[in-house]
Amino acid sequence: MTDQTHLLPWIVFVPFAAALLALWIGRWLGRRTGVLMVLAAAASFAMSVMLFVGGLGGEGISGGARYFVPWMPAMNIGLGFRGDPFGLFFALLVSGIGILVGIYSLNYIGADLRPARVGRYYAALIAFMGSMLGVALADDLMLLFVFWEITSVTSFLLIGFWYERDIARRGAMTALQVTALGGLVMMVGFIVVGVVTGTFSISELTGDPQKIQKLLDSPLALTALALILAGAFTKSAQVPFHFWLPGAMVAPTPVSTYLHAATMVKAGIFLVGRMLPVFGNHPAWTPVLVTVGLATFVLGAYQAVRETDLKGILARSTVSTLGMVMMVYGLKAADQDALQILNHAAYKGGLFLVAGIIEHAAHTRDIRKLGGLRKDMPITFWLCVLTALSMAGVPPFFGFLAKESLYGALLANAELAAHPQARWLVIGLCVLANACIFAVACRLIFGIFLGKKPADLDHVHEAAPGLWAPAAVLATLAVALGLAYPLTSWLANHLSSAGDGHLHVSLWPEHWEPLTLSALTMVLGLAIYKGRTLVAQLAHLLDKRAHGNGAQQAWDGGMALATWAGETFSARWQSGSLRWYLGAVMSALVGLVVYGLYRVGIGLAEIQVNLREMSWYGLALCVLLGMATWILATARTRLGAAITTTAVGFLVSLLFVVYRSPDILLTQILIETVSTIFFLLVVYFMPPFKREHPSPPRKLVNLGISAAVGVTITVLLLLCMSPPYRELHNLGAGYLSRSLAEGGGANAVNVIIVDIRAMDTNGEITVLVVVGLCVYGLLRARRRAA
Amino acid sequence: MNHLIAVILVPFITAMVTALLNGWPRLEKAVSLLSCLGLTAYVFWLTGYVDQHGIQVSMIGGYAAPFGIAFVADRLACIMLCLSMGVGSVAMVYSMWTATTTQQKYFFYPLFHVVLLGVNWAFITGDLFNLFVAYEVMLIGSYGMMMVGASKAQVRQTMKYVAINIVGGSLFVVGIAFIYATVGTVNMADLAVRTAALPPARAGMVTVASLVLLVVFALKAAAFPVFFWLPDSYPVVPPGVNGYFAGLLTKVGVYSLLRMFVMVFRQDGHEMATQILLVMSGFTMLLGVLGAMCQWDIRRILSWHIISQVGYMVMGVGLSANSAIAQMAIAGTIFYVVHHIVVKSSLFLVGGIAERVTGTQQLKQMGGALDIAPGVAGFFLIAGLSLAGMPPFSGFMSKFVLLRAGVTGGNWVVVFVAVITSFFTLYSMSKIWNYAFWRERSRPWAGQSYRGMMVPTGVLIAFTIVLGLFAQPFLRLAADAADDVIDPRAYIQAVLGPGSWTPSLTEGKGEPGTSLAAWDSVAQASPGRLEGSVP
Repeated sequence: MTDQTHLLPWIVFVPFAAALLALWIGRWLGRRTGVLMVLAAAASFAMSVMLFVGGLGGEGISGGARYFVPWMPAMNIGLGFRGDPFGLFFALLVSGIGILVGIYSLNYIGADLRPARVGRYYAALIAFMGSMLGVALADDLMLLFVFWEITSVTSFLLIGFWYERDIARRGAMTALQVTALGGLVMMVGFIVVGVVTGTFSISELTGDPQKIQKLLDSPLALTALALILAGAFTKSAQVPFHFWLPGAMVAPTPVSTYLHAATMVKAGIFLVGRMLPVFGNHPAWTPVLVTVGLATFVLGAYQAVRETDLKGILARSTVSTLGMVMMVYGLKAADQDALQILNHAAYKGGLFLVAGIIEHAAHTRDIRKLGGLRKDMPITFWLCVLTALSMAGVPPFFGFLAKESLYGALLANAELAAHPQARWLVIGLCVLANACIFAVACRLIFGIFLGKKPADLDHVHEAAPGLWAPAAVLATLAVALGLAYPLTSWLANHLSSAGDGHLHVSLWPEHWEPLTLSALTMVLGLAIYKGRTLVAQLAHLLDKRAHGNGAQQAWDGGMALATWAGETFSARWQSGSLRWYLGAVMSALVGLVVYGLYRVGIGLAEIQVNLREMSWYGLALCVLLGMATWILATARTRLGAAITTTAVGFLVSLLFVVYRSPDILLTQILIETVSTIFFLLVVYFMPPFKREHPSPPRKLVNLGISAAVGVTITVLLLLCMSPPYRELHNLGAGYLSRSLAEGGGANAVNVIIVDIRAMDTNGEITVLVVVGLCVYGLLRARRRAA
Repeated sequence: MNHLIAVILVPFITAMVTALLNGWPRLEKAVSLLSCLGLTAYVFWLTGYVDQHGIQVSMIGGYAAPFGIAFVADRLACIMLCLSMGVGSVAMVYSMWTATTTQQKYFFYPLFHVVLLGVNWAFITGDLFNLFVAYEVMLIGSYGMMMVGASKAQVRQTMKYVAINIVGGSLFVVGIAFIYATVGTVNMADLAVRTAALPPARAGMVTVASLVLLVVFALKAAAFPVFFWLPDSYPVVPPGVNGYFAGLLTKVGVYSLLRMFVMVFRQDGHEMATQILLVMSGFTMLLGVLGAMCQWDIRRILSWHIISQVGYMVMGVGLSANSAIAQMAIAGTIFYVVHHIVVKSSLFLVGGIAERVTGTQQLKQMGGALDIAPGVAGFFLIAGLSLAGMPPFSGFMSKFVLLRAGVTGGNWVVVFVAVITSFFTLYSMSKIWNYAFWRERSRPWAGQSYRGMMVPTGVLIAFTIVLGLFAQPFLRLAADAADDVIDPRAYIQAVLGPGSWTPSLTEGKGEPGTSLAAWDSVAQASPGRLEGSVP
């Protein structure tokens, strides 16, 4: 068994390699790229079979072949794959249906499209298959997440295949948003699991009861569970996230079959199956899953009855079945999972392919515009009958076995037995939902193929074998697995996530209760189908109260709200007014500093600067500076502003007299002089001075901000000068001693500027030169323009 | 290691030479390219050398620290230099295809080298005041670049850029003055030594003074509430340069935050500043992405996303207040910086190509670009998904590390905001895809060739794939760089020499080195540490 372990990563990576190849050579191959898909799927299928056969006798979810190479050991993420029966079951499902969908696509995707576009389609489809196989076989939670999100992205590209159509783009966007958000949330859940237990490996988790206990005892257990379930619910289109799936039906039919019936939507269920051994004993597990699952089961079935779009009907009934499997997991009846999933994949895959054939031939998917096609499409008719009867749960089809087994499991379930009042509610709702599914199956057969044929369907004729052959394979499966029930039992037990399943299914029921429920389902179903006009009227009444699709509206509303919030915020905040920008920056500064002073508990009383130490001329200079600044702020002409700026500059220079630093004084005066001359030269060429006249309240606010900044900086300055805060052992002494000894100059300031810290000076000189360069360039550009 | 100065000397000299060669465009381009590629090779070599042999220091002019100016190449600085020069080279090659003759006449190439000079300078310097000088050089260079061509829109929008940043520069000087007054030095290593030994009373004052610098760096990083300069100015910058600006300029602010608020400030209670940063990061992420969601100009969308992404990096800095997860948070930030620079630059470059192909930067007028230019669409898809944090690209790993640090530290609010932001980012990227690449062609193809622009863009795209699929060596490097920053003893010893700081500097505050013992607790293994990082 171990010698085949090395196949595990190849099952996943062969499709990815094929996808890259398809992307590369697809533009020349065009439609024929589908062959690559078939080949890749077949290769993965063959390898999965080998692993399955080799691993027979493995012990359920914690067993199976394992493959591990470190990927990012720093983050404890490994490239871990595991070929346990349940994972391999999914891999077989994905690759097996992949073969059929590939063949179907070869005949379905039109020859009228540009070859490159068809190549891209196949690349996305094959990459999707690879990532789905990755989800099935990943042992590392983060690796699972990686593949999970790749399925979201590739499904986005596939749903939007007809990207010229508004409706296709919208469906793709919604699907991406819902599933990707769920995925992101799920990732946080995985991180919580990893942080609490110290591992991301599913098999390590399930194999170590102590780790599971540690997780369940942790206060974060509920958070982790909720986050992970959010991912599963969005992917599997559970209530209240069920709305994206019908919208995704704009995809080409092979895509709908593959993604939205057979594989991707089952990823959520698969994840829940994987998590059952980990979170199964959490008190929230059963109530949450049963509630959500049952609600989806019933709601989906009800909506399927009401839907008129062929693929919409199938999509909603798919949602319904997924809810049923969720519920089964909630009831911890894990041994049912393989049976139910396999059953659904067989009949629903077949029906989707049939729907595609009909759309291809009749150019409509509206069941109200179809009818009487039995004579024109005999093969398709029989395929539809076989699969729909399996869906309805009529003996001797596979669907009958599954339904019987489900009822049996519900009746015998320990979780339900513990809550007698809920027990019959659950079972009753299940019967009701199954009855709706039965009615849907009737409608498919009668509505499309029997009855009166509308006049505009005369051109319809039977499809090419390449289209119906894949459907035939699935239909055969739906029949054969019903008739050969010992094989079905064996498969259901060996592919289940429960591992130790002792499920026994048979066409000859051993107990009368499940059979009664089945019979009840059929009678009720027939009644719903017969009384469909009445049901429609009732539903119409319901609609008036509920206003259609609430979840979709809520989602769209949420996105619109976010956009509106962004619009309002960015328009107000990023207003384009420099005055507001500077005001906000300054307010932020003041706010932070005041908050900081408050937090560290420093008050104005701590200022210990004695103003009497300052000379009288120093103080006088300060007063003058204040006056000059005020005049500058209220200047009426540009020239006046320029001159007062100069005045401020010179007054600041004079301050250096107070501090006895003539070098800096001289430098400063030089700069002020030069810039004043420069400014006076330029002022002549400038447009008239535009004065804004803000309203008095705004003026007051501006004044307040300016004053606050001045006060804050002054207070900080005084505090920094005060004895307890001032550092007296600064670098000054070191510079003084070094300037002569190492710099060879007695004037410390000069030595610092041109030698010790010459790099600073160099930078400032660079700035000046670059300004010159800019001005020169600007003048040149202007002159050319003029 | 006196050749460290090459990282600023080479762009400095190249800027001068290319300015003189302005009349000979071909020669100018050749010199530019040679200089960029040569320096890129040097900084990659330097990174390998520093990774193996430890921190390298060059004292400019031979004056000993803390008096002279130290150029310090630790792992963090080297990573940033590699990014600066790598993306700089890519943007240079790209610009050779896009820059018009007018722009070339307007000293495009010299100004580009001045920007490189300023950015490299900011990364290599180990001196706070010198960092201010680097900021000034960077500011004037970038302002010049934004003005290249001098159209009316450029002059109007860049006015705000330069005005806000000059105010930021003044605040920088004020902040340095406060720090110097209360700590008595501007050398970063010396600052770290002294702040760690501050008496509690003064420690609080230093923390308040550091808040002034926090505003300055947040302004440069374009974090909430002071990101104003960014969304107005970026849409008018020439595309190739825009790629470099989008990647590097704001990250200089993030780098400064890392350097100063994680490594340098070690006084009692300095966590207050990081906690403030954590709050700011949440607002930055969310408001940035909300601002992006409602825009219809492709470059404005991408510009708003820069703000949002900066939030993630600031989040890592903010999380470092909790010493148990500090290493993971900082490593996450560094990895995020690497990812972001690569991806954001490539997105702007791709956006530039899409503009060229469709002839507009208005999303609603684009459309059908997938049919016209599938390669460009592929590039955008990869970069956009990576930006949103979708696997298997680099964005996933970088967000994963940060989220993991947040979950480990129990910072649920910021984790929640980060996830929502990631989701909105994906929405925004799918919107661009939806309008620009899907739909039917609404306008005739502009018909301009873009092949030459694809190659440099492709280099960056390839890197985001590599960074996502083979993250381990980069994670390891980021973790080691984070260690250097969190526990700066090696840095201090490299700059000040083993035990060479004079006792007078730490007079009355215990023996030199005793305060360092406190850092041992930070460096100890804890649940928030990355596994497998080199001890």
